[in-house]
Amino acid sequence: MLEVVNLTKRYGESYALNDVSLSIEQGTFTTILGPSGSGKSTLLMSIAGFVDPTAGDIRLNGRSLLPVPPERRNFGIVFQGYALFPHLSVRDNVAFPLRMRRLSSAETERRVSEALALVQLQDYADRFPRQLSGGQQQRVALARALVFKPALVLLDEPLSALDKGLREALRGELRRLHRKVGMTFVLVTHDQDEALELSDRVAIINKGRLEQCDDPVTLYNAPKTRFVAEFLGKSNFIPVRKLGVDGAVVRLQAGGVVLEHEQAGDATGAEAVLVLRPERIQIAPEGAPVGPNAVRGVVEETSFRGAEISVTVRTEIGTLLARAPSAHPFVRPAPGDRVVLHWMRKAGYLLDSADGTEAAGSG
Amino acid sequence: MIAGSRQTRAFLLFLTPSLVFLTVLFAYPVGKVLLVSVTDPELGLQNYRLLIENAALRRVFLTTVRIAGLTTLIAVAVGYVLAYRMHTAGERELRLIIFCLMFPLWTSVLVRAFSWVTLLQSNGIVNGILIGTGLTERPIQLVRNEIGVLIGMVHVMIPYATLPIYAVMKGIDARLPQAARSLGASSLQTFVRIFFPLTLPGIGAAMILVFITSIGFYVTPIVLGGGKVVMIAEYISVQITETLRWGLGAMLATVLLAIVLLFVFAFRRLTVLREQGA
Ligand SMILES: Nc1ncnc2c1ncn2[C@@H]1O[C@H](COP(=O)(O)OP(=O)(O)O)[C@@H](O)[C@H]1O
Ligand SMILES: [Mg+2]
Repeated sequence: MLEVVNLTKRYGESYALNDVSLSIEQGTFTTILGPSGSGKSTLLMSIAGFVDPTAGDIRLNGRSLLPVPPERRNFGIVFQGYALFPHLSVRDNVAFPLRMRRLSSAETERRVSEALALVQLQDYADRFPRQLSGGQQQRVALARALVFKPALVLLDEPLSALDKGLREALRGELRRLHRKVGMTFVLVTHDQDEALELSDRVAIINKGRLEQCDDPVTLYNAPKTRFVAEFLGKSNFIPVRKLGVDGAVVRLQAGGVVLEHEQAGDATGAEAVLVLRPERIQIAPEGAPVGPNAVRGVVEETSFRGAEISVTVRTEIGTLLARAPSAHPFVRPAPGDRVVLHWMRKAGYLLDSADGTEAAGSG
Repeated sequence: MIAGSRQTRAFLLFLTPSLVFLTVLFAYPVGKVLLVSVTDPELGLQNYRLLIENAALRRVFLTTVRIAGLTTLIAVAVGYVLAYRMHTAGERELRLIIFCLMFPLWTSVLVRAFSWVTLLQSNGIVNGILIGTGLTERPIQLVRNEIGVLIGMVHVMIPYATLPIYAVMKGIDARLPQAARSLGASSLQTFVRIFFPLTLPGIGAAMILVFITSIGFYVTPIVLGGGKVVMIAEYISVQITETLRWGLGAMLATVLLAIVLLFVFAFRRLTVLREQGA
């Protein structure tokens, strides 16, 4: 198990990492997700041994890694931009870690073939990196990082240099590869879809701080901060005040409307923010019979997005974004239509106002 | 069609000044030298035959190639170390090194050669230090021989050796050495197997540049060689201005030019092949 303990890295006065703690279980796929400049690479390179932390510790199975030089950590790294050796063939690139470990040439050859087969590049062994496409280079980098059976595989934005179609195809491949080899993967990315689709756990960092580390479903449905809620897709943030509790149901005052909410959430104070994903909001024509949480409004804008349609509605409690399946038989909202937005009691998530105001803007 | 030919005409028009310039100042004199080398004192290749038959001439050639070769090896070795230091240096140290490298370039070669004479002569500072520290009892002969010429020439050539190597080092992706380390290579192995091979084009460029420059050195060997070390440029000058054997001088100049062109061509081939990945 890998543990990152209160890790801090300062460059002059600014913090690239600020008191980050994280633990990564053997065999899992963990993703470090954050916007560009948030400290993801710094975290990964600290684990790899190329960045000296200012404070804190990194432990593997209880032993501190800080005194161990990078070449002794036995971690396979796929660098941002791949860092393939341009003067070596694909075969020699993949054989490099085995040669450094002084394996016999027969064993080296066997393992290299195995690794190249794993990433389906058997026929490219004699090519040089510049003779390969971006996707193929990425796979060589993977083979090179896996061939010596490292204790941990670190990947720094391995897919971000590729175009969209290829990126999605390789995502599936990466997931399959992880299942097949059963090693511990730590991936860094700024792409939320990549993080949600690939990972067992996602650690979201922002400005050098860990915001939340959870499985993708929890992160999406129960974000602990407004930053997390905003970073993982769009959300509506409705400022509310708690009126009272009826068993499991909390009654909330939003503008002139009373809403009902039924789910734990973290909010403890009287002022809170209700986080509501657009796809959890239903749209109905005005006057249709609806449930407890209903607000009236006028459609401001619609945008067709293939499988779904995005609708911006100016309501009595502020402007809300809703999404409906575009194949919906009854709902064809158009700008100017008067509609009712409604949602179930369990649709939202309640945040403390303090957490909710940390990030700017609203979804 | 019409647009095409008009474009071609405009292109030629723009090219004319440099073509004229090159013809008048370069092609014509070089052609003339070539001509003189086969027509003076009479039509034929007798000047070129001298290269094989004349022992003194052969000696000058060998001396020139030897000194230029040694200068190249030493300057490139020193340049490599300097370039590596620059590559790993912080900003302030880098600026200091660059200043120290560039400063001598603003001083005349003649002044630098005479400065070396005063430093290296029997009662100069260098011998003073050697005797003072007891490394030697009597002054070592450091000028008016090949050692003096080498010291002076290496000094002039070091910036030319350092900068191409440094440029290549700068261009190496910093993640490559990190990748090597992460894959289990020690820092020495990383240097030997990854960094050094990637700097070979820089070494090649530096060697060619230094060699083709050193082979035509004139002032430094005259001053520091003190008449004892004659390199080809000085020999040519003597043929032209003193013995008036213009044909011989022109022949030597032609051979020198041929050697330089050969190296430039070989280097181009080398880099083109590298880029094509052969
Ligand atoms: N060597 C360095 N010197 C100074 N600042 C650095 C250095 N490396 C990274 N930083 C700063 O630390 C922050 C985090 O960088 P990084 O970890 O590369 O972000 P990410 O990978 O998430 O885009 C950035 O603000 C960056 O400017
Ligand atoms: Mg990064």
